[in-house]
Amino acid sequence: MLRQELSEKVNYFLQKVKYISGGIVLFISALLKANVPDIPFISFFVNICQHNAWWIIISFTCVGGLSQLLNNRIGSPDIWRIVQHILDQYREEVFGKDESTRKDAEHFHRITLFKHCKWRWALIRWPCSGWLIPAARSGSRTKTKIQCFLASKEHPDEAEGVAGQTWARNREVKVFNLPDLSVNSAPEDNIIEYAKKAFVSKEWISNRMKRNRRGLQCRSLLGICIEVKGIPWGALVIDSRNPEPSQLKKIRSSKLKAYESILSRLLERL
Amino acid sequence: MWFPVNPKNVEELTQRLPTEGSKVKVEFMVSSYDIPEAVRGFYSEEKDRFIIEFKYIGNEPAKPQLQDDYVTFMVGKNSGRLYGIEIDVKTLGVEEVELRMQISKIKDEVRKTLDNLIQKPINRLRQDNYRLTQKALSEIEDKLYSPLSERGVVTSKK
Repeated sequence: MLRQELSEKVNYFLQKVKYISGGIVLFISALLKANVPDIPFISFFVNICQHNAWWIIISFTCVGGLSQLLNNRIGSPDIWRIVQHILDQYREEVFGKDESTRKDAEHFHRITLFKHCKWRWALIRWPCSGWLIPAARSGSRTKTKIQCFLASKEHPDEAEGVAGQTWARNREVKVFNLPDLSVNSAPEDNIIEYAKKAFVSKEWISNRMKRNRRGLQCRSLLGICIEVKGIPWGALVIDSRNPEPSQLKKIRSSKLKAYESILSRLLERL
Repeated sequence: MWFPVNPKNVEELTQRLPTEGSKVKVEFMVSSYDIPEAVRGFYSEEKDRFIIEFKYIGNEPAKPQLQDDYVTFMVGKNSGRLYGIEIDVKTLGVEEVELRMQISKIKDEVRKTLDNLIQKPINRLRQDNYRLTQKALSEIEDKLYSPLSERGVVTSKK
């Protein structure tokens, strides 16, 4: 699930938990100084609260704190909406203004933002290896089941995919003219070459091809490192069905660099 | 005043994997964060030094790294990127020569320390960044050192 969707779903709930916890802590704290009234039910309630105040206050303070921490980790929906807008504008600048690509469907040329995390749920491989997980993608299509890539700080040579190599090398990685694997029964040699040049294993490619009946249609990739305060935060990956998109020559333009700069500043808060 | 720069040797620093007879091209290019966007030079009365600063698309706190008796580099705390060069013109001993030679001496000192930095980088991963800063400086040398000309470099306090 991409970060914008996740933050929209949980942000409201976590905010409520935080405020309710705060309210309970204040209420119980105030009751500590209250005189126990003679009314039976209320005196019983006040006595219970006063006797158990010590763990109620500690527990709900922790609950409120954890909610805020989790909210900060996920990021506010507003920031992720701005990130989404930047990715859309970036895509528009690269592909939307070019005669040869502006009429293509948006999922033919995509921009995905990957964030480096030390840990993720992974049933197949060790979850603490270090991963690049998808945080946002341009457009409104193909936003589920986006692959995560292995990117370990201890074993950077084993970083997977263009995203992983971009993060590990802290350089921009360009891969053009990948073999066409969208055909039925793509030759074995093409699969091996695709895997080697895209920095993934042959099994990874085979699994992707089984899941997608149209095969792998990405023919070129460009990875751009994203830094926050001088530290590699993740990678921006542009994938295209064009084997050699001339539009990617614009990558060094001042407008696109401005978008990268804004992204770096925004991501400081996440 | 910032002078925009566009170092021309960026593509020369691209590493290309051998194609091995295949049509697939794989290239590793310099990160956009390593390419200086603008440079400026000014004399700081407060520090009593001539300061050259580089601007990038990213930002981070910088720390001083003393190079020799005259030059201090300001490098990124996290990345080791070159953010600035501070030249102690008084210690450099330029008071006794005429202005043209003063500026020439400062330029030589900066070039020498940058060459040393490229040969013995503070952070090996940032070698491309150091080369690009050197290239950026060479593109706008005259404009960069003009504050020194206007000021007379060192109005030595006797």
